[in-house]
Amino acid sequence: MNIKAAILSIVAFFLLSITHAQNTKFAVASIPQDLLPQANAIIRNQKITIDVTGKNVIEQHQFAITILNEKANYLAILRAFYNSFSSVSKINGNLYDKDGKKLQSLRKDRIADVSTFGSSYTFHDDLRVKLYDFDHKQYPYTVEFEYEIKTNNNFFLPYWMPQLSEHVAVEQSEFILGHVKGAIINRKAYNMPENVETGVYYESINEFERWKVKAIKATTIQPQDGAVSSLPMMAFVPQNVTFAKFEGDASSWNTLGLFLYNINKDRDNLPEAVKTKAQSLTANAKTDQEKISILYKFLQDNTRYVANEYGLAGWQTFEAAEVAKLNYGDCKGLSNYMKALLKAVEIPSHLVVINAGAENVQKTDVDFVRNQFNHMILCVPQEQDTIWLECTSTTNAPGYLGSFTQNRKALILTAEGGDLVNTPQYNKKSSQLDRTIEIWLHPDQDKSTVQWKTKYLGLLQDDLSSLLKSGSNQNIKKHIQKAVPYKEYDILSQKYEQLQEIGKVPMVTESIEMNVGHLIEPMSKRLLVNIPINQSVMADLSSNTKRTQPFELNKDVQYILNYKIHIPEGYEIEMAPKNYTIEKPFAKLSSSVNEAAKMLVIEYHFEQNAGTYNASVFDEYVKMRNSVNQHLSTIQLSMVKK
Amino acid sequence: MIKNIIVLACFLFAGIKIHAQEFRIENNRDSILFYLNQTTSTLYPDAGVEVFYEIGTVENLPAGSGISYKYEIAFKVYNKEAVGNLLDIVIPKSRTGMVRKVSGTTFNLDNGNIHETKLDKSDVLLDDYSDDLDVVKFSIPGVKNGSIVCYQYTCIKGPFVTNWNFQREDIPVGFSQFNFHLSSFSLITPQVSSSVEFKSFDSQKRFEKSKDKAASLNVLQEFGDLRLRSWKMKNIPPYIKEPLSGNKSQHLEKVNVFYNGMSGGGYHYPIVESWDLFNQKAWYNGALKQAFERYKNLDNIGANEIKDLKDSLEIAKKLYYLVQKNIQKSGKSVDVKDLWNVKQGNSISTAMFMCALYKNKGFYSDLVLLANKGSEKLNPILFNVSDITNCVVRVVIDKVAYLIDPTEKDYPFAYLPTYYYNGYARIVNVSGGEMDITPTLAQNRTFSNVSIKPVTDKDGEFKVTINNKLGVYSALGVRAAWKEDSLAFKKKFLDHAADVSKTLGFSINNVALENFDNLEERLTLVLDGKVNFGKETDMIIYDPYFYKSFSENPLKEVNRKYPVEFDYITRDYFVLQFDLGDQYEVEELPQSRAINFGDPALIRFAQNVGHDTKNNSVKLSYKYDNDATFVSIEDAKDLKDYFAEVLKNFNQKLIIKKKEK
Repeated sequence: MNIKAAILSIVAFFLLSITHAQNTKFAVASIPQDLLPQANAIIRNQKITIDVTGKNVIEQHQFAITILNEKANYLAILRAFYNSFSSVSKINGNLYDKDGKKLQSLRKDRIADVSTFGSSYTFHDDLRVKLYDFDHKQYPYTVEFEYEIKTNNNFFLPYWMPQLSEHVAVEQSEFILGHVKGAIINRKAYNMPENVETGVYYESINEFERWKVKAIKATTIQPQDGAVSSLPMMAFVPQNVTFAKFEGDASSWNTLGLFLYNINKDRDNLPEAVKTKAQSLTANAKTDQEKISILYKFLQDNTRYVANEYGLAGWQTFEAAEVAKLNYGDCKGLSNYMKALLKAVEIPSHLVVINAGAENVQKTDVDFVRNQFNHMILCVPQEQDTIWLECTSTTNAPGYLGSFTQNRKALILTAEGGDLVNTPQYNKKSSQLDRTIEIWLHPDQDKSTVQWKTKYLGLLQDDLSSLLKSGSNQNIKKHIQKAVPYKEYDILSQKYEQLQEIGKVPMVTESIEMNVGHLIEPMSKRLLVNIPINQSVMADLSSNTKRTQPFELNKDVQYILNYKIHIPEGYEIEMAPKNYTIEKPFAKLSSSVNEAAKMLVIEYHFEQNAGTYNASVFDEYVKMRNSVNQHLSTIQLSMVKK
Repeated sequence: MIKNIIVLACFLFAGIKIHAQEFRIENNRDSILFYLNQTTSTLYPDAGVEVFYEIGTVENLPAGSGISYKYEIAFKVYNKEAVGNLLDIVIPKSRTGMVRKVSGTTFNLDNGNIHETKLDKSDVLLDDYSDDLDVVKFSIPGVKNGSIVCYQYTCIKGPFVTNWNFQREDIPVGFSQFNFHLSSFSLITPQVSSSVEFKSFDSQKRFEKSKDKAASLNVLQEFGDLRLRSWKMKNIPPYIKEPLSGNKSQHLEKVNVFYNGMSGGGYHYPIVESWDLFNQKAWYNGALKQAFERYKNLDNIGANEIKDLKDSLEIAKKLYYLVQKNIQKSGKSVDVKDLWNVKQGNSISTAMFMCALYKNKGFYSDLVLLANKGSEKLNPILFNVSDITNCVVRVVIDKVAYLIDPTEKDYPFAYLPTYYYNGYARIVNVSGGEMDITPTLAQNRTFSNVSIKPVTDKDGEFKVTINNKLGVYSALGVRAAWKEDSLAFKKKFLDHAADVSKTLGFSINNVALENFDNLEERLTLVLDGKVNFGKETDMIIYDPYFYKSFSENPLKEVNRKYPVEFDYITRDYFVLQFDLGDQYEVEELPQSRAINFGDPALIRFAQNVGHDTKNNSVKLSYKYDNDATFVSIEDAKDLKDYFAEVLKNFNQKLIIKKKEK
């Protein structure tokens, strides 16, 4: 072999190796077998670099993901979001078949650039997305993408979430954070695996910190696990934050609160006419509470929720005068408008940011100062107790927050800085359904007479209260159809009353009289009575895996169902349900059965105790739920002629 | 002369305006005050919103430069919680289109006076939605309970509005008018769907003056070549959805205008001359041509799978399942010759491929185009091609035509989604043709078999086996849930035994699904469980109906506006075999019954109950079936009573008691 031939053969071998390496880079066969169970997709390789060394934040995203089946197709679409503070560039991508053979490259002329309007609650904002979809449906296949986002502020640094979603496994994922040496970037890891590799390297005056994870298996998110993040996540916040023309300090809740306060300050000036209106409306009010109630009602009657969050308006409230002109606004605009109305009658109040949502109870991590908020409300400090106002609700009672914002941390924004406090929690007595059902059975008729009297309190009145405010009989009809468990009934009368007073737990009372069919079934020897209850009281927390995470019940609630069944003349009870009690740390159901003068009284009493419970008692929860559902499904009686 | 024409035109216009003002409450301060003081609708006290008027006008722009669409509305807000999206207006338009003359006013009462809030031009927002589409948006200012709102806009070169609903969901409308003023050369065919007869006019004056509940105008404008077509309705009640009443679009009071190109002055350019010609030009020899061409590379596809089959139907099924399994649905249009290689394509590409494959194997096959129930029905006379929503394949075997859609992954051969069965459809082949797609083959047959046997060594404990062979349509949800997460599906049953049987002491040990991958066999859910009546209980009142055709009366209201509609044929069979063993005996049995509805019977129910004293076992079986049919409004009350009777049957219990020792 001469030298030339040897060189050629080495080059040929090398080229062959490169070609081979390219062709098999994303071969599905090379995915470790232990990553496949439960997985619909595998992150083959992900690298996110966040560079905050300069004036702008530069994010570089690279990832390759293998789609194993149709359930993960949504993960094969590139979605690079940006807004008026940022831009997206350097988009590239490739599509590979199951053997890792490249099928297509991304065509830049086919990148869609669309507004996100219609995909969220906002009516108008600046959020856009660059989209690319290879629209490949032959499984498995792999897509790889890379893109860069340049942002002119550092307030919303992206977090690292290697697993993207449940049922996704990760071969490897890497996150690099570059910053000027000595700059403080706070960070916190949630649910990260133990085997995170870390490292650091330096370039000139800059420091690049590196984290890398490998081989994360796919999981199923277990409902109501109470975690800040159910999947591995690492969040970052620079101590010195910037947003638009604002600069601040995120080293404590106090300073973060001050930063948000400064963004929103001095926007609570009203036109004179509205000020005068607020003053005249409250002229005869004797207490601040009364004034707050009057002005809150004025707000509810005169405004509506419209989210225009374009640009800075995503985090800065509209001027109160603008809301006064338009009579609409988003949560910030309406809270700030209410603040301005109160200011007009010399009642000071503070804007409050909060992580809203019935499922987000206590999900704010108090130990990590970060903007964890998605909503704004208002608090009015009082000598006795703070009054909280949900200004986007046109139905809430004054001072009542409801399941959307109750029982969680909230950051009050003041000129002295932020104050992290708790919003009110409603206990069992103030979150209750108390129903008396009186039944007159008529053996000689098709239908029985039934009278319902129900008191809905606190969190258990939220939905019904909104329906009543909607004023739609169709909606009320739908509520009755959902609540009334009978197979066939005719409503004879229905009546609702609402109690909404500041300082009191809101209540709805409901009275329904109906003729109900199919409650009695005459047999040859006896009269069978089937009274459907179908009251669902415990949440379904089932998932496909054995519970390993704690489970969180986020409401203290109480249900009382009191059945008074009139025994028809000439009949006596042959068989009736027996007393029953089941009690666990998380809940208790007891039923008592008593026969009194021509009447059978059956009372069910259910209580749920809010709290976080260990996974080891989850099977007991499921068992109890099944048992409670069976006991609260039907009252089965047998009566015979005397 | 020209001046005179202008003056006359002005008079004509003024005339229109005077009559139009009757409903334009914003032009009359007394009307505004009257309605501002009103707290509930006179005719519809439940209404949260009442539309006073709603007008849409489609017009030619000057010099044939396009079409404009003007929209005007005025309404009263009794309750702003009920207003829906009426106050936040979204107008999509193409990049070249324009939205002009946007104006809006909100009227409120202020100390007994009218207070007006105008929409500010700066609050009209433009969203650059995508490369081709912009969205103009605005929110109406100053709205509170009691407000009256009026707004209007004109969209130039925007969407071509040809459908107009006089009726709105949950909102009554006082007056609604659709004007369609296009050149007299336009080929226009309107179709009015209404419960009220429209009185027709050929004079604009008389049309405007008419007090009829519904009226239409068709007149050639005196000056120019404009044909004025208008339809108006008064006092339109809100549409309220009723159970078993089909789709909303079937029932709304509306007018659809079919635009079919231009004709006149010596030229004739219809979009569709006739269904058959369109079939020839646009489909058979056009967009769907590939379905009818011969492709050599199809010879080998499926050859192996069908080589041992003799029966044509079996071969057709095999080919259908081959395509259904191997071709994935995507958004891409793919040539028939390439589809098998790339194994994906959109529904039309897949239908063409399926048709070509059948033809390749010697079958008679063609395509059928249909409008599903979410769209307007196809019309034999109006050539409404734009309403076509789906393309399915027809294969004819032994003179029986089978319709299939191989992109629907969970449907057996010859079954289509229920919303495809929507009447008139067009056949695409060399000669074209028409057919009615009715659900005569769409049967949902469910067979439930429950066996209960004593566990010999355990007092009061019985083994329960439930075998539920699901009908095609009942199986869809189960198959989807299993596909989504089979473990979660099983766990749902294991953790929620009470959903299967309310009897205390019932639990499920095992869940299995049979025939998941075999669409030719019925999907079967098998549950193994047990019930423990407890040692202490002497008498047991047992609900024997593990599967009920319905558990509450499907018809809630006696009074209906729309007929009852059954989408498909239902056939339910249920058998319970309960071996009581040595410890229990029958105390009382449910009764055998047979109840039919209609003459001849459209719905049938029959139950047999027997006690085999020798083996001490109870057998209860019932059969329920209904045809895919309509029941008139008049007969709905009887149908409700019929369902009540069947429910009464399902209310019966089996009573057993412990044998005395």
